[in-house]
Amino acid sequence: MKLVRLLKGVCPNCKAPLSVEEVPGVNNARCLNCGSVIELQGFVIDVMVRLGDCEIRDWERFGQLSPTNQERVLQALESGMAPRELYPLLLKLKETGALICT
Amino acid sequence: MYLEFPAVWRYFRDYIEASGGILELKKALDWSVWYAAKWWREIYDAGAVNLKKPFVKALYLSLRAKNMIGEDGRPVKEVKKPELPKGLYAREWVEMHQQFDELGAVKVARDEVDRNVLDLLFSDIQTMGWHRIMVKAFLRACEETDGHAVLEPYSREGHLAQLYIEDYKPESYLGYDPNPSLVEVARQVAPGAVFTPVSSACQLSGQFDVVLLVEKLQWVADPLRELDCIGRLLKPGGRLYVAQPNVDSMPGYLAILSAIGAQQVYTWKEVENLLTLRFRLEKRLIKTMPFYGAIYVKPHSAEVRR
Repeated sequence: MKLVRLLKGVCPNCKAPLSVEEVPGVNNARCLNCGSVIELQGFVIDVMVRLGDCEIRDWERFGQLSPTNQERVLQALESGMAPRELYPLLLKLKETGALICT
Repeated sequence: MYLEFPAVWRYFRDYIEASGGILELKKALDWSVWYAAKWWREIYDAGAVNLKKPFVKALYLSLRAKNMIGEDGRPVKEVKKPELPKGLYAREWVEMHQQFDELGAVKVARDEVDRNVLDLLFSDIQTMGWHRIMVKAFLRACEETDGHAVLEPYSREGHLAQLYIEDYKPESYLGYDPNPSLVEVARQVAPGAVFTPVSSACQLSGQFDVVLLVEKLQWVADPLRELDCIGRLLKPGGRLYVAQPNVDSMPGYLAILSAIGAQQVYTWKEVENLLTLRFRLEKRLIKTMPFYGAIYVKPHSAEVRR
């Protein structure tokens, strides 16, 4: 589980929304929709939590979260990314062994 | 308490609408009273009343203020179980009380609940939808704008900074907190802000336009000293935005906040008295529901001399 910088914008060719993880020194990326190579200049930077291979190990502790945040964490686990405001919550779940990440 | 609905409607319309309307909001707020009464009864019956504990003190003072318990702590008024609200955010508020209830009020009063569980609850509350709406509505009610140098005491995990930066473009944003691990987390949560691990504003320098005292005073061990130092950092004419849950507001929520590490419990009048010792009250938004909300100003030196 780590924080990553995402560059968010729209492909100038096909107008599909595009979100790519920032790699130092790399200024372009390939659009997943139309395949064209696009410059990332002007894209908005967002910080998110990349979860990787994480799973809930202690459901009892996890069940102590509010239903809304339980759902948000489960959705984050499914997509592999979480909004950064969930970082403290995820960190605590991980520290207490309720969330296991490899 | 409900006499304040017009003021709440004026400044927190978003919150009311997100709760499903004023009646849904009222149901949600009634639950806070109902749970507080339930927790007090459990603590009282178990002989676990110790007013040195902020959690127990918060329950005692807020239920006393509502004449629901006698001076000796004996419950004197029954509270009818309210109807469950249907609004999404109103329900989330009730669920937060349910969550806390499951920990066991007596265990909390006796410090028998795992600290990690309470810490988790704190992070949970900070990311709840109702809390987010409430904080944002409060900043809007303060008519906050871009371009300010902002100071946030007790920045904890950086949630307030994150919410602030979502809506405003500050010239600078400095949060401080005595806990270095929380500062580390805050830096990740709100990368647009700067956080520093110091125990008090007395250790800082700089000049700020705005100080965010949104649910902060409960953490401060020596509030007047802290306000003195905050005053030194505030530019003349600079403003403090104060939002403080208190014993006259939502007793259940106040008790939960107190259980997760608060040092102090205030009445709304105590909050106001404390702040007017050092600052000028510019505008009181709300007294009690769901917190005390006001804007204070640091007077210019000529004003102070007068």
